[in-house]
Amino acid sequence: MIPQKVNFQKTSDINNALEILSQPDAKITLLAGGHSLIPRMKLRTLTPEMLLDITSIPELSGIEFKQHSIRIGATTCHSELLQDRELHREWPVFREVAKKIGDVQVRNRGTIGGSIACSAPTNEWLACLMVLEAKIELRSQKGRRVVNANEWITNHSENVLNSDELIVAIEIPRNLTNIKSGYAKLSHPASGAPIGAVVTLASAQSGLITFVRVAATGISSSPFRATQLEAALIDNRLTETDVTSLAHLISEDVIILEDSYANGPYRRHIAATQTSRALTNCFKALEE
Amino acid sequence: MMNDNRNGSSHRSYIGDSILRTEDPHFLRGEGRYVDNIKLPSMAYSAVLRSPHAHARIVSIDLKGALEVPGVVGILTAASLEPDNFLIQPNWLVGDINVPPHYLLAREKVNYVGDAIAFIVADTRAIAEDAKAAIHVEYEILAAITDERTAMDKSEIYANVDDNLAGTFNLNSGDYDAIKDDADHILNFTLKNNRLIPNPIEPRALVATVDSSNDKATLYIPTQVPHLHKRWIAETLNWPENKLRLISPDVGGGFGAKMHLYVEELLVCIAAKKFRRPIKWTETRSESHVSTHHGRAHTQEIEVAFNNNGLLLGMSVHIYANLGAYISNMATGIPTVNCLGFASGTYNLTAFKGRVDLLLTNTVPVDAYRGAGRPEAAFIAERVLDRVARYLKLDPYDVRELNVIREFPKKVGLSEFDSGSFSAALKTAAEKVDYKHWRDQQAKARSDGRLLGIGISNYTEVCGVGPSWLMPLVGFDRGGYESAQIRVHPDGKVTFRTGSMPQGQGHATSYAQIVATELCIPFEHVEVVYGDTDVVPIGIGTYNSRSMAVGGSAAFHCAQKIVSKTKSIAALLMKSDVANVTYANGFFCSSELEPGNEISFVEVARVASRGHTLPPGESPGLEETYIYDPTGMSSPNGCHIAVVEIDPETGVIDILSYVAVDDAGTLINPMLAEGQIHGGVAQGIGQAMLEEVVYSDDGQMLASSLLEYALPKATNTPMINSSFLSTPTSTNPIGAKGIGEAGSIGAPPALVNAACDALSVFGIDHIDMPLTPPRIWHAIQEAKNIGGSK
Repeated sequence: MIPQKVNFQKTSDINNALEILSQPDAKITLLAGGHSLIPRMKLRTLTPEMLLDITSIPELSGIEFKQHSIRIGATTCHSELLQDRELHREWPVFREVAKKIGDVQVRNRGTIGGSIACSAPTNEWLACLMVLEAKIELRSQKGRRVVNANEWITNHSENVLNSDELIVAIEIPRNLTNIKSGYAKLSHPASGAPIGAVVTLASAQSGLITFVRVAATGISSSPFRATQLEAALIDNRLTETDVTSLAHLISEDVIILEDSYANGPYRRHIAATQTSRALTNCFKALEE
Repeated sequence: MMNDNRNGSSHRSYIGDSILRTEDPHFLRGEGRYVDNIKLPSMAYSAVLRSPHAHARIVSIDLKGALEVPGVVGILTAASLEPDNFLIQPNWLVGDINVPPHYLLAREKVNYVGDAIAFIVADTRAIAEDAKAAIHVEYEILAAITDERTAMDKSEIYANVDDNLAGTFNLNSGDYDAIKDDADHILNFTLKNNRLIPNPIEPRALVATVDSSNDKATLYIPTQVPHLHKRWIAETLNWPENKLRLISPDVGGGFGAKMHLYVEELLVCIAAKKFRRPIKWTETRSESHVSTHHGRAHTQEIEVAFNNNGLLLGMSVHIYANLGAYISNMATGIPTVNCLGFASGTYNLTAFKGRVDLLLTNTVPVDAYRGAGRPEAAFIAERVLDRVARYLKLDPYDVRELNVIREFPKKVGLSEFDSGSFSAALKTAAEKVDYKHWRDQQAKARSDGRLLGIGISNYTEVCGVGPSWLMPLVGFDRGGYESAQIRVHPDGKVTFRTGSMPQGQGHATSYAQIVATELCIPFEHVEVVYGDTDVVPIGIGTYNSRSMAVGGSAAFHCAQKIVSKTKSIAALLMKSDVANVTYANGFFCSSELEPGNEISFVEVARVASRGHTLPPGESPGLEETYIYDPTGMSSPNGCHIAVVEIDPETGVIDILSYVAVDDAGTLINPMLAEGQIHGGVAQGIGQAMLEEVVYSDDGQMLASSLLEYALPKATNTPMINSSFLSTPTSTNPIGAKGIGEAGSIGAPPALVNAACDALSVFGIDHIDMPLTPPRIWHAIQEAKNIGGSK
């Protein structure tokens, strides 16, 4: 369809952007990759008054390695995360996640910041950032605050981002202790969004699982950490862990998404199979 | 003098050459010119207000707010159209059909989600959309009917259609009921043929303009049938047909959906005349899904009688065909003549008993979509063969071998197959896929708990339906012919015009191959022209895989007429008896003259254009028209075999091998034929594994956007091992049979048979299309539960 009339501004100055956002009746909608926004505008299910294009703000772009962390600018697009070999050397999961997002065109435009700002129930990056316990850096004219990815989503499946704030960057730890990862995703054949996707991190010492984190997306109203499953896995012997029988814990106490394509029982089952596959891959990497 | 290369290979036969498409460079450079690229001076834009309800009475329409939107030119509704709110008429009515009234804009009632209510014209497209949003319609919602199987039991949508049954069609041969009593076995089952949305990459688009100097309207339209569309529009609007010109520039796919008469085509013409401005209408993708007519949508109840050895005796087929809310152009012919007539596929039967109920529902109208009845038919026949084999614990290949038709000509249903390679295609496909190897692999896989399946699908169809006198006998209000016109310019270069209208088939290349071959001139010297009703004198169009069989034959005969005239001129120039003149490689020679006195085609063209030296009675110039009416239909056939593996944990199907052996008789350009197989198989994968329109009980289309409705992508498409047999037809002079729809007919049964074969270990007999992972997983769980409770 044809979108309604909308006003448009673009700035490359972060302070200018924050000033625009801070105006009381601003009603600004931020435009980065636009791959969630534009389709909804075309269908007129979203009718913003003013778009603010933030793609040319230098502070929001790029991947930077620091001593204890890696800083990923909010407007870093999926394909940059797919191609950054330095990043993959420490966290190959970025390649695994990115390569199953959308298609080439979507990956070239869509950004990691935009994707967590939208916080769709099928958001893959948020699940990935949850297991990394990433810090999401926000800025407004009032100042700067940092939110742990695990606290990003509120009880009402919304996120904590205020209307006067910009996501500036995402900071993830360096992988200095040989943590391995696993990722498994079953995609919807039309949208490519996950019917169920699971990302895992783990490390082991002397055959014991000493560190494990699991998060899932596409399964419930928002991505979530599977703490029950993590508790069941920790301190197990790597070689004796029956991931298949534990995998169902991923969706215990979770309200399952249902739609005309995949109903509750199927999605719950897929959550378990993808968990089992992600963990198997992760543990296999640990054994190598 | 001419610089003809007398010794070089100035001519060869181009038939059977995989020549690269001459139309591609401009597409690859992004220079394609589609209707939506056309911008005329002072052009206005339009939008259609559509019903959000499946079935509702219109209480009131308030245009006030919309008309106040700055830039609005005007708004048409049923009330403002009167007395010109004409009725859309179907073009194919099989038997006695109660046709419900289909107005250009809804009067009193809307009958499906997408039914047109108002036509808004404005200075820009965005303004038209804004005005559309400002129209207030008050509805009184009525109960909706969506399912064809129960439509007869529901309250009537139209006063003139009792039980929502627009008509019935019966087709019987032999005495099925008697045969049934003597058969060793009888099997009953029901198949659903899923409703599909045709998704040409270019949606429908229109530009209409009226020249006030002569009151002539020009409509730019991506149509498969320019001359038919022109006739239908003129007939509907009561406009003189000589005051209407249709132009089809590049067309981005059609699949049948661009050969029906739609209300927008008439509204844009009316509006262009009324508002005295060129007007454009372009459908969006989401709009296309509720306004461009759908395909398939059958429930099929099947009974088959057979013997212990797998020999088929008889079949009974009862089809409940969902026509949607109105009877679209060819809608009544698809489930009847095109489907029921082919339900026994490529197999011998002693008796057949068939019935089709044509049912109206509150859904998008259903009409021809690639294959148009034959995919629905092949699905019946091929599921029957697999069910019989499964029941008798016989190999599905052997059961096909036993029953396949081997003798031609063969009359089946309403058609006569003049020739075919039904058993050779089966055998070749089995060899190519290495059938025995995969049966061994399947046994091994099963012992490892893996699910491998092999599916065979034989098909036949009918392409290039004719002759024309036959058409009215089945209620088809059009001819079966096609036109060709050749103009040889004074320099010997050729313009060829055809009534065919490509939507991606490559006609600029394939027709040039035929014309160049028959005229013995270089391929590059032929320009192919189509898609303008003022330039091409007469024509039918491109559908039913008919262009090469019918249009190609017209080109062949037309070239013969040119050759005949040039020969007579050459004879005169050589002072020879025409009987002694031969034409080859671009040169005329006479047995009466010494070698070295040949006259070139170019020289004759030059002479003909001057008119100085002509045989008595011949007119100057070289221009001929030939309208070819086929003597009979052609019947391509083929065998597709798919090997699949199913992940029992997720229900995901992986296609391990796909073999397509097709016989379309003479292939003009094998590369283009293979391309048709690739595209057809991809769409067949769409039907078998991905696509389905589902309606809620209140008639809302679920999964209506491409975020939910899954089209086949490159990642869904396996390597297709395609090859061809060649059994030329005797029903036309070039022996071509048609290839455009074959893939979409052959693929769905091959894939479903393969999946059901893989799942047979669970005792699963059948899963309805599309075979989505959730559907397969649920079937496995259900089968396990039943198994567990035994």
